[in-house]
Amino acid sequence: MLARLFHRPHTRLPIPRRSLYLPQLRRDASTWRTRFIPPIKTLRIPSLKAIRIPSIRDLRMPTTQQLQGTAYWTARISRYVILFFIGYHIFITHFFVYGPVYGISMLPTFNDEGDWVLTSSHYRRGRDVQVGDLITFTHPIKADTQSLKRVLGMPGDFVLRDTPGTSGAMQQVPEGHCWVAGDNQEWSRDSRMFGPLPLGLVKGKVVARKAAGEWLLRAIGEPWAELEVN
Amino acid sequence: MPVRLVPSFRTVRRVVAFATIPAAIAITIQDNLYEITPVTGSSMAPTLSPDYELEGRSDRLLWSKVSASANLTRGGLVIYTNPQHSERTAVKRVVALEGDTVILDPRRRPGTLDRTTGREDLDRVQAKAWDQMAPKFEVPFGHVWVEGDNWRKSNDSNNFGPISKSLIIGSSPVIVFPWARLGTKPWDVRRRSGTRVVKGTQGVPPEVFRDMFE
Repeated sequence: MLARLFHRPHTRLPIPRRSLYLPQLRRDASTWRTRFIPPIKTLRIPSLKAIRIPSIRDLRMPTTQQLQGTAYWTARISRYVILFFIGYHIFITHFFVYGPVYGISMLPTFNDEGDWVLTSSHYRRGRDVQVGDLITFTHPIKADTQSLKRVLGMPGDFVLRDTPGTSGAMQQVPEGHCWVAGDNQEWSRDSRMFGPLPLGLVKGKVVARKAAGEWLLRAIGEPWAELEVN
Repeated sequence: MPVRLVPSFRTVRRVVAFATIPAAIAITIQDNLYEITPVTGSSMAPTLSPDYELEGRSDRLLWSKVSASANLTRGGLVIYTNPQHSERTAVKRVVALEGDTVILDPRRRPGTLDRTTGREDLDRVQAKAWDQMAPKFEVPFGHVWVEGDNWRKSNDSNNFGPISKSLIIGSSPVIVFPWARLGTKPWDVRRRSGTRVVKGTQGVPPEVFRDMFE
């Protein structure tokens, strides 16, 4: 002990080793009682770090860098595909949809084929929809198709139930519904056939249109601007 | 002078990705595959949420959203967008499919119960519409007739008529809460109901829409 206190400068103290001080109980031959007797020598136990206990981190799937060959590329490509699909779905349902439309029920506003429309999903479920808007909605009769028509009445409004010139009966649009009609009344299947449309089916409102044969996307402003009135 | 810490682009990217990607995955799975919703209201008592009026405890159901409006069965539960409030959903039982004839239950006529909630005008309008549907009503093509189990407190097809199948968001549910009933489907038990249904033929579209289904 004293030697350590007055160590010479050019020597170094030994690095203290982590050793476990194990008490050894030794039965004294002279008495029947065991006594605590200090050990004869200290024991060295290898450090616990040498024993590797697998942790939660080792249960994770291997990172892409650790995979080999085709598994690496499959993981990488499928990750991009999944993220793209998720981003596409979020964009479609919350922001905009750009797609082709076809049919003769909205002539002359839209051509029968070749037109592309940009739909804003802000107006889904009827939010901020007004009379005169062009809306896309899930068809109430055939759930896997979508239709594009014009809104003629919102809840509470009175609308003509049949084609003008036939019966002349009026109907009030019930709460939570709207009345839709195509611009080409003779060749349009709309609320005259399937009744008021629940606003929960509305998917969006048309905000821009690319006509067939053109490349320019034109915004649709005032609701009645596109309609030619004779 | 202390250095103003500006996070690096990598850190910002990591934080943004950590916040948005799990939310986006959850939203996509909820919209397309499976969703868990609570059943609020006592319109399906005592089958679902029996303690809602007293203690506010609601059951939670796991819905399958894939092809929800296909393969509907009479007596199955569906979740649909409320036809009167487009931002809400509702959970009811499908009583009759398209083409079936529903013999309306007079107990379920709107306005039969004494209500002092200020809904008397609405009840009168809905009672008039119900009288036009009574006593027998054929469910039109593409629609279903939904009813809640609790006839005293259910806002269902007796109030707003049959609903379009396109409004149905999910079907084939399984209870996920409370734990005592996890995985069960207590509505599969056949119950006596005042509404009687005469089965008809499904899948026959009217003349106007026939070419859409060819």
